[in-house]
Amino acid sequence: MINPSGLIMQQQITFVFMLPLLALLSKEFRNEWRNFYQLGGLLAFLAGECYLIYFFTGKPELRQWNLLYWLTYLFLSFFIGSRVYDEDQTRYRVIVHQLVHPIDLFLSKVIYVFFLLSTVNVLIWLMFALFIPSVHVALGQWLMLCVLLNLGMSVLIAFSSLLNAYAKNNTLFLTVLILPLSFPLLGMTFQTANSLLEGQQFFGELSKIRLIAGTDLMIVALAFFVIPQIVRS
Amino acid sequence: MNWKYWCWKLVTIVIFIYVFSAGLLIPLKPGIEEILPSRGRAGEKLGLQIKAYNTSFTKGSIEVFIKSRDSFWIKTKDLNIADDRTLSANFNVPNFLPDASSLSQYSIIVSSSYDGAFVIPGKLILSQDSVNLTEAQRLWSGVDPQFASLSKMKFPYRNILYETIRNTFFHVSLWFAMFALLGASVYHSYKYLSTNHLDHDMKAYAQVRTAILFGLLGLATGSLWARFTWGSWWTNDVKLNMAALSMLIYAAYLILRAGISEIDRKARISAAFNVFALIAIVPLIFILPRLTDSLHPGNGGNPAFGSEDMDNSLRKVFYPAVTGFIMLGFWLSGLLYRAEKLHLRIEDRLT
Repeated sequence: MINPSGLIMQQQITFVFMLPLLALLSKEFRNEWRNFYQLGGLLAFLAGECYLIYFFTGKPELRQWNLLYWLTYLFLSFFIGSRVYDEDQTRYRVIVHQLVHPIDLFLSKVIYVFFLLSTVNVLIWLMFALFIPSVHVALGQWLMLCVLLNLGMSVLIAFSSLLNAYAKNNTLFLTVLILPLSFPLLGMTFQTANSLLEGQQFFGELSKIRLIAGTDLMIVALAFFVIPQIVRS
Repeated sequence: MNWKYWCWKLVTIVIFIYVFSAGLLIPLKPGIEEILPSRGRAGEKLGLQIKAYNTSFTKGSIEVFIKSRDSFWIKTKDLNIADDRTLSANFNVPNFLPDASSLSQYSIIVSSSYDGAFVIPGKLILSQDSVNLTEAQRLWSGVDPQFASLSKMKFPYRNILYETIRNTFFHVSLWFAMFALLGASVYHSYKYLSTNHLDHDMKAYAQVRTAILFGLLGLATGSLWARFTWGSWWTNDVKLNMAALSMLIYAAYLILRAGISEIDRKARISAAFNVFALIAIVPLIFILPRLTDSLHPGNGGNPAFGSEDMDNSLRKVFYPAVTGFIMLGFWLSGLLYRAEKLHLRIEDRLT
């Protein structure tokens, strides 16, 4: 027998638990909307880079196309990462941490970065399709791979950005942190993407997919173990 | 004298004396470098010039055999010894070969009462115009080879590797020690995060610095080895490059520490990064190289620690070498930790 009042209460508790997270997420989106020129800059960078690739390489081979795709993604992820905790100066942090739990703040950043990275993936795909359409692979399969990568990357970027905010808080420092940490995930994704481009099916590459998913899980688990220790003070 | 304190250090020194003396002084087993010509025909006289490594052909009695895949043998008719490393062996190859195909590979085995027996597998290619297995088996069955065995411990002879096989004791052991140190540093980082005791952070930092030193030495010894065996100081082998990238991760750790001045914050942030760093290098060194072709054993389908690349004589030095390098790593990191602690104490007194 289902107890309707119990079910409603449970839903209410879940909703109350989610409220700070939703508020933080809406803050991120509003912040983005108010500073739309930053997103515009990102789009202009992407368009410019794709045109340059088209201009200098013409029609690249599959492996080169794949490499260019993930290099573009990497550059844009630095750009995204540099903005994640950029408002998180010490004075502001003291106020924010009294209002919301740092884990909620981190989680909202991760979700927001995940959203941005996935958007960037689609945008790069579209731009590449426009300028260098030398590859035929199903967008759905490609996006599934991107989502898998973005799960881990969003945590890594938010984590590195947090470390950067607590340390020097400059973009170069952030790049030094993100690049080596993200390489294992990017490397495995690059290998899997190569297989997809060579005509393999997404679910036919399960051994590689499992490795990426496993690394994602490790990163997520570690982040949520380590973050409370960092912000404890 | 505090024996408990010195005992394991003395053991480390003894292990290193053993590893260096045994690893560098025990000779390689003799082996065949080259045979000329490498092709012959059934029914013809075949004069083989054999160039060997680490042999003393002028001492003891020598026999040379040709062996088929199914263990049929013929023995040399006569042989001329030019010097300790070169001999010519003449064979009367029977009219038929003990193989169903017209072209097949045969091994050359040299048995010496002084050097023992050694082989170059599948190097000689023999051809025949027609196949007669029954007659071939009769012609190739008259020999019952007896090989002299050596009681002395010698390292295996491997074509391409030659004396550089000894680098196994140093190159591979350095990586093992590096991972042991990184594992210990992650343990101390975790302890720091859970207890806030600065000692743990200093230990983790010292262990990471020692691990980086071992990693760089591992890269240097690997590069030296690559130059000799693969002909280049640096190749685009995936394991080589992933190892270099893993060093970059720890370079980022050092940069991170240098970027924060406040001691507690530095310790906290770098401990968190250190935990992540080890997780990042596991896929780099152990997973990615297995997904692509690699020249390294244990990657890209190559076997590792199999009988082909690691025999019992090597294991007798390799395992102590790994233990020795791990102990040396902890010794060095202990010194670095104590130096850092003194440095902090002096800074405290000055301020």
